[in-house]
Amino acid sequence: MEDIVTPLWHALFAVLSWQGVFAMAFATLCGVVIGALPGLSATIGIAVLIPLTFGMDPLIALGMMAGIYNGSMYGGAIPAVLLRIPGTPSAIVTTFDGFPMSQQGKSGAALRIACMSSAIGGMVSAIALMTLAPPLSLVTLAFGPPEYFWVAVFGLASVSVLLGRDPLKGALSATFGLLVGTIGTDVVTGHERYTFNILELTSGLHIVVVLVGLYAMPRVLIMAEDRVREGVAAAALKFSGAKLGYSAVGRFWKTWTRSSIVGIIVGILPGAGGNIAAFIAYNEAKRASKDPDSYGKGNPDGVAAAECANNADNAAAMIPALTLGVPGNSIAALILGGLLVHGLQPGPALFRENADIVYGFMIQMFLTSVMVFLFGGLVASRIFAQALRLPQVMLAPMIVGLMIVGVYSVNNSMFDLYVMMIFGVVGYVMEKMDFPLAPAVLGLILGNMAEINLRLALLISRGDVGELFTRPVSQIIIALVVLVLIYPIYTSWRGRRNAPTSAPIED
Amino acid sequence: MSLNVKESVTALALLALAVGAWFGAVTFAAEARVFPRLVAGVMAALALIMLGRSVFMATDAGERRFFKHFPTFLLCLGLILGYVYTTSLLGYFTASAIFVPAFALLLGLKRPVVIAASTLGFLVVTHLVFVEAFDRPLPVEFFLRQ
Repeated sequence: MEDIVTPLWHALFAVLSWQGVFAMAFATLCGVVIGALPGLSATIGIAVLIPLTFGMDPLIALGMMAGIYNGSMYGGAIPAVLLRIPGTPSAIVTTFDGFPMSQQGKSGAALRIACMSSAIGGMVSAIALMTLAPPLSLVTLAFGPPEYFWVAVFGLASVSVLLGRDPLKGALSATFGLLVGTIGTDVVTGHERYTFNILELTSGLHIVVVLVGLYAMPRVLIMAEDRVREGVAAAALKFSGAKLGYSAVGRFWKTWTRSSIVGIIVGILPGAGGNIAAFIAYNEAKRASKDPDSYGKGNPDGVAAAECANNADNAAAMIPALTLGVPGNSIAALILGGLLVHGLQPGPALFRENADIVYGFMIQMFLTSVMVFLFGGLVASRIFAQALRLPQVMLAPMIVGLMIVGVYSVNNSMFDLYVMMIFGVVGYVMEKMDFPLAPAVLGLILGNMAEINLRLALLISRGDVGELFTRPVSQIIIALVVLVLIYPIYTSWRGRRNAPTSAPIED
Repeated sequence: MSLNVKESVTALALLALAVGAWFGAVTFAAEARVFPRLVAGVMAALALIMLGRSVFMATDAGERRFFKHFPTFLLCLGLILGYVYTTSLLGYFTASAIFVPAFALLLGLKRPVVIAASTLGFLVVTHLVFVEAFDRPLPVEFFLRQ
């Protein structure tokens, strides 16, 4: 325990510089606005933010990412409660009871509950990150190149299979990311791969350029196609029934405890996101309730369960990301990309050599959750809700403007902007064809790790492929990979077995 | 176009990409080609499964539009391409001052005050945040070039 407290104590001083606190506060506020705007999410916010943090102190950069992450998860609840439009995918479950509360004239109370629950979930999750990640990172000391290769395969397999509706498309998305990751100069032999004699491609495609293209540009194109020319009317953003004091703590503590545990467990599992955590926590709250019929009709516990769980997923998703380099969800994948951009490699070395940064980031995840509680009050929520008044056709070109600033500042290169556009169109096609984007991003991030460790393992074993399969830890990870790959086949078989034979085919 | 046809076309495109990646690796050193070929091989196999599934299994009987509004999609893409190009010619802020209102106007927003105020606000905030606070290098304005 002392091994965790000492570095946390040291990191605390680094985190509490005025620049650090300002960056966290600013990013949390931005995160709430981003989350409140339907169509935007933490993923887009962080994708656009990463290039802007180049040259910054890594701790300040990570504090901003933590702020956007936690802030946007709460921000998504604002339109979910007021308009039944989830600002982020994780806020879908919040609409179930949040909007009925709003219709009953209790929108203020619903937002207060959402805010408190988000903060509690985020804080508990950050504590889980602080206590679970350091010992888990020590486990990886037993890993050699074959184990790291299989960890990368496991990360790719789990995200591909568990994320999205179609495991086949998830796997194809991952292979696409892996292939894109091979573009550039091979670090071992110095040979150029798929560069087509284009000078700008010799150093490979920068992860940020690909990320912004894949995530942000399809949203802009879809927003433009929707052609929403009117913002939300001011009358629809009025709050009412805001009375909710500290008595809420006594009322919701059971729901918060249950939902936090659900959020943390789901967060640690690669591939599962905040929306899944919120669904499970909501169902658990309903199952445990003495009045389950009131759920979906404006039960405050429903709002508390959903918001607490989707924020409890946040920091927990960073546990496998920081220790193994395998992110728990797409936002964790982006933050992992941000770490790599700042020259920080996940694993035990990160905890040993950059203790201030990694422990500082954990504290920032906690503090930004506290900031959600401090800033997410009714006055602030009223202000953030005003962002919804901006028509989407006005918002879309501004996002493009921010994308251009971000991508251009990676290498000061116009070439990168055209590459971003190409990946933007690819991302649009992927979205329309229901290919999940996260496996592609993970393929790009983990491709290098997988290739280097595969080649190292083969080099050490003098080309003996059997070495990849014979070590005990490798065998455990291979078993997990097989389990993850079998899972969709099993669920599909079970679904077919349980379905009535005369059931109509659903769209 | 039915979903099955779209899936078949996508699978064929991915198969072509995988085959291209496989043969594109011919010139690489033996060591450097192992991983790309491994990935291309897996991708080709998965694309073939997807192709088989879309041809032999009915995944969706109904029609699903790929583009919600194709002319708007093309217009938007053209505007962004034009924005990127003019950014290198005119500089970031000049190009943004043209692109942001043009985009909103061409997509049918007819509220000049909202457009002007939003554009001005955007330019001021981006300048304050990215140039003044973060010191990000941006394409220089044409009238400031020497």
